[in-house]
Amino acid sequence: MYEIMWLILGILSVISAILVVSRINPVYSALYLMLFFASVSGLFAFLGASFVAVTQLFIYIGAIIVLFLFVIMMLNFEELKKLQRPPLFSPLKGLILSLALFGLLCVPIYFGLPSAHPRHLPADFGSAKWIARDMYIQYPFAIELASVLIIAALAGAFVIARIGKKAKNS
Amino acid sequence: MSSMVLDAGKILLIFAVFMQIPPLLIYLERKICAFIQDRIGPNRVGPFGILQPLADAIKLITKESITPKNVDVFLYTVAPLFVMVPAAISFAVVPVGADVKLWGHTLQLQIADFHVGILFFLAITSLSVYGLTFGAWASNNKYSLYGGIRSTAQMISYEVAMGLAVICVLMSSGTVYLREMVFAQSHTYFGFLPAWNVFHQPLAFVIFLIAAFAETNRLPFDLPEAESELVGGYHTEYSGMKFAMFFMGEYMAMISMSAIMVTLFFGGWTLPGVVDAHSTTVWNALLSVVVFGIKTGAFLIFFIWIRWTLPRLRYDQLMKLGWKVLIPLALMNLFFTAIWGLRDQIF
Amino acid sequence: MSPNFLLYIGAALFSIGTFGVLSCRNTLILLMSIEIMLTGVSLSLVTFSWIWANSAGQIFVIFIMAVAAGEAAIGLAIIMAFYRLHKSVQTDKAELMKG
Repeated sequence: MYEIMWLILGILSVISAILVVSRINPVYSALYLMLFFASVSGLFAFLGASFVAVTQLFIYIGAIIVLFLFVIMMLNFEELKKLQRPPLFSPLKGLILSLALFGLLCVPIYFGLPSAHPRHLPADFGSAKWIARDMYIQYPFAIELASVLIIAALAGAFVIARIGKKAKNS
Repeated sequence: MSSMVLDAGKILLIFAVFMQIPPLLIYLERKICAFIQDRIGPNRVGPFGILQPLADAIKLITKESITPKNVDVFLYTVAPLFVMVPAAISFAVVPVGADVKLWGHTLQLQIADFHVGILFFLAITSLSVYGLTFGAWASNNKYSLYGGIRSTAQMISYEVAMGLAVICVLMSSGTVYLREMVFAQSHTYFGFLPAWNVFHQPLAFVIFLIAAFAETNRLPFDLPEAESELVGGYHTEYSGMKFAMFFMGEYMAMISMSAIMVTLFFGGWTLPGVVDAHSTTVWNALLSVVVFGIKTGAFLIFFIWIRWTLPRLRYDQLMKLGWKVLIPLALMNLFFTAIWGLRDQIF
Repeated sequence: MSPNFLLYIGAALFSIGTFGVLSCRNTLILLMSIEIMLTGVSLSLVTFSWIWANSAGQIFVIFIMAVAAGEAAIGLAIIMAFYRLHKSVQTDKAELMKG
């Protein structure tokens, strides 16, 4: 049962990822990106990581893609529709490079990992309490760093957006 | 096997009832609006106009489905689904009644009790903004596009405040499971005051309520459709059944939001002295469903009442309220809740 | 089916993201490709977490999400500023540093 869902959602995520990078119109890219994140979130749920799955939905689909759509709509979308593939770096070269990367990544998976059998999972595997217990005991410093990072990003985004505005007015 | 049949029946029943409420709500909205504006309201179809929703439905179904010329056909067609489906799915985590023992099986009157509970609700309701945004963009209309931009900015701003308010409730009740949260609220203080979370977290409730209005695009926060500024906002180009789906989606989101507010802050289906939280008789379960319905209905009427009472905010006022008032207040509330939770270690 | 299948999927997603970064001229889709790469890594981490019944993988994914959210906000702010300067979001318009 789980294996079938892995297969379906895994293939769906790969297809939607390919659609994201191959669309010219960024609104369609955003639509397929949403499908991509939804299928990956489904994979997380079928791997027992329900908290991570819901956080993935909440943060990526609920916030990040909405932000993307906001920017796409703020910009002049007539121009966005006309964008062509770049002449600088041909898609063929990109394809060869990324296929080589995929081959490189497959080597350790094929040779390095014995086909691992799942250990006995705890009953509350993936629940919010289980993650929080380990996270706050083992990684308190990393949490502090992440919060500083987010505040810096908030302030940084604000400042950068204002710099652009100043340049436009002068 | 028979427990699976019971579960399937439960899901069917809950969704069947859930889908019947929006037409009723539209009738109620028109009647209450008429009462507030000193009119009579719908009174032609059936006694007191009670068959008006049926007539509306027939009209909307039989109307010609128009697709304007320069729209993006695919997104234009799927956009209404993005509004309706998340609103319906999000209801799945709401516990609607007490456990009931039927033919030897104990049945929970809740479609699914996930490991993540309330977070699932927040994640799924945040999807409904896509219907507005994609519909607005696909319509290829400047007023629609303004509606879409407004809805994205509004959703992001108010989701933060709503999430922070929910975190306060999670911290004070110590669980993410909505079922456990309802049981935790079933006892009383001093013998008469119900132990509802609204008394623990009044500020969180106010923030959640305001954010809920913004999330469901109801007045005073219906900036995405603002008919006096943007013609019809994101649904300017929609008509017939597609428009009806936007409309239904808005009302279904309202029902889900009211139900979750009742569950989080007002004890869900429990009522001290009327419903026994730990009994599993059929009578008790029916009573609990009725209690839940009355509480949710009170919130729905509150939604309608506010809509016809308050004027719409200006857009900069909306953003100011979201970022400069609600989020700081929610953070402050979070801070004091955390201090209260750790009072034994600190003092 | 062994969970190694999901590791292959994660590797494939990372490669697709790389392809997007290398060959997209539109900065918006370029940012989306970076999100795809990060998610490919997340998928591998969650799979390892399931294989070893260990929480570290899922905790790392939560940190990745924090980084991704910050990165998206900064990236989109840069795109807005860039668009105001050049009236375009194409990568080859970023040539102010060219001598």
